Amino acid sequence: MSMIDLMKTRRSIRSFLPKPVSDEYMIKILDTARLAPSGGNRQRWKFIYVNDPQVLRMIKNCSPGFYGDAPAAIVVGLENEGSDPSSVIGLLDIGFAAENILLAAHALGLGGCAVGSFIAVAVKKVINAPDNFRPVLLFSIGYADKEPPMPSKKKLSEIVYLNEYGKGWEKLEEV
Amino acid sequence: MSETFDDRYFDLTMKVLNYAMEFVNQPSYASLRMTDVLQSLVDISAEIEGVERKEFYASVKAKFRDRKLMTTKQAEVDFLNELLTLYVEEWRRRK
Repeated sequence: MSMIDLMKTRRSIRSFLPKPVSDEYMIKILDTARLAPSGGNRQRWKFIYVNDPQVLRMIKNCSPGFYGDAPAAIVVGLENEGSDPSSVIGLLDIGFAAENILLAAHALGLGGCAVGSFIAVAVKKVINAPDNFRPVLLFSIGYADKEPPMPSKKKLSEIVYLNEYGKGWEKLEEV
Repeated sequence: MSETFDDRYFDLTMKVLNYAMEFVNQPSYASLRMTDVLQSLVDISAEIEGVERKEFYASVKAKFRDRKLMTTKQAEVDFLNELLTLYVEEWRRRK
């Protein structure tokens, strides 16, 4: 499948089959996250791969937005963020890595969902993270139980302007 | 993922604790109300068949008994963090 097709067919998966994910696949997914762009190539992210069912259980207890019994999860966060004024860049970096994680999972026949609703202090305690680590996103990863349909998306003409804010681009009318 | 009733009850009470933590910085009583629900669940735990962690819930109950009046948000945050530590330590002990 082409990259564009992968992007067009990826869905957020919140219901999983009780089938484990191989370490080989998880390493491939994590490697694509490693290669994501980061501001100044600082790579301040850390990825905690969770495959222990007991740890997964506790992560779920601390994450109201974590749906489904995924056999694997990834906690992504920033290290040594401190009061760095460029920390918004760190968050954007994690966004780049996040998309790589979700697309790589989809390319391997897996599915996942980014989870932003979790109690960071609780997740930190569960994974034994140091004080200088801030969890930013969680991912559930596994084999999809069902493929949800494409959710409603705005038309391109509603969100893209040509040269000036608010000026429509006639070529987009039919997309 | 949870198998025993005891685990399921532990997970339920821990989720309630996390909901209390989720709302703690909002300008409402939602966090305090969730904390009250947790206290009630802990209070009745000794009477529920299948709940095995009697000592653990007794320690959580003691923490509630010693709770001081929550006059600031920070006091609430600190109290909930203490409860969280009890939960994570209990989970780690049994893991």
